[in-house]
Amino acid sequence: MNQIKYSFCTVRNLLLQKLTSDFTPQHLSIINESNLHSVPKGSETHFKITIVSNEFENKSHIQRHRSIYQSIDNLKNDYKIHAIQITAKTSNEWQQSTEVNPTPSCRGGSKVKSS
Amino acid sequence: MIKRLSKQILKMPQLYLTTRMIAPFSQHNHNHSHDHDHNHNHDHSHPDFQPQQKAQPQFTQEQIQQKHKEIDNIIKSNQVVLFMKGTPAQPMCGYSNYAVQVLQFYKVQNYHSVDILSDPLMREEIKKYSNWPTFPQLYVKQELIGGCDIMMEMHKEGTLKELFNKI
Repeated sequence: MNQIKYSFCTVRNLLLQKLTSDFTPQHLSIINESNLHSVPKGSETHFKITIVSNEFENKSHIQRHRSIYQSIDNLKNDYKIHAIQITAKTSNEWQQSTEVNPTPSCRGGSKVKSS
Repeated sequence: MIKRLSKQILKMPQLYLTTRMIAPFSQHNHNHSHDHDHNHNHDHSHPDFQPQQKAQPQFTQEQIQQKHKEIDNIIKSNQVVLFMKGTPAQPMCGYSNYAVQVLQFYKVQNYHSVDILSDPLMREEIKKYSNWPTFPQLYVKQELIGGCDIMMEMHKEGTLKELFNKI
């Protein structure tokens, strides 16, 4: 079962394609973290994106994040992606540190509302 | 070979199901960490073929303008503003909770927090105002600093300390 689920992580694949074509990244990892949140099993709603690209050279944090949000805006709306955690670095910064921010634990926002 | 092929075919409905299921399920989780505009579309067609227009506006132009003025006023009259899910005493999302913890760590006192869950118009308009689609949003001296990821990043760099020292 697991294998089937992983071979068809479609939203993840679409994100991979879009970000690869827009940023030609040296490194790109997209992890589906939806299982950490209070959404139905098998959802693709929460993603952790780590992207290393020279496109981010001389750009502030805000600018980097905005360009990523812009790139995946359509996917985000079409597939109802709730949350994207982004680590965006240049290849120099990536060489200095490959540390990626941890995911904060979910406070169950949606659970609280539905009860 | 035939075995493998038949396996592939068996998998196909799974693909169709997963792409179809995402939308209807996630519509019921509006209250989650970062959030985005949702089309309230209960059409059962494949998401790719659903109309792309935004949800019908529920607020008048006047209300929206009023809200923009309110946001403007909040940001201009407070050094530090946090737009978040829930309240500092009870954050409703891990990312908002992190932002509150960071402000506490740097002993930032008297910051103004806005609970966007209790104000749907605020929730929509602040995204447009900031040109930023997610929460939390931290403003310092009328400038958008960013969300949880950027706060983590700046905390590690030491630039967040500099920023709060200037207040």
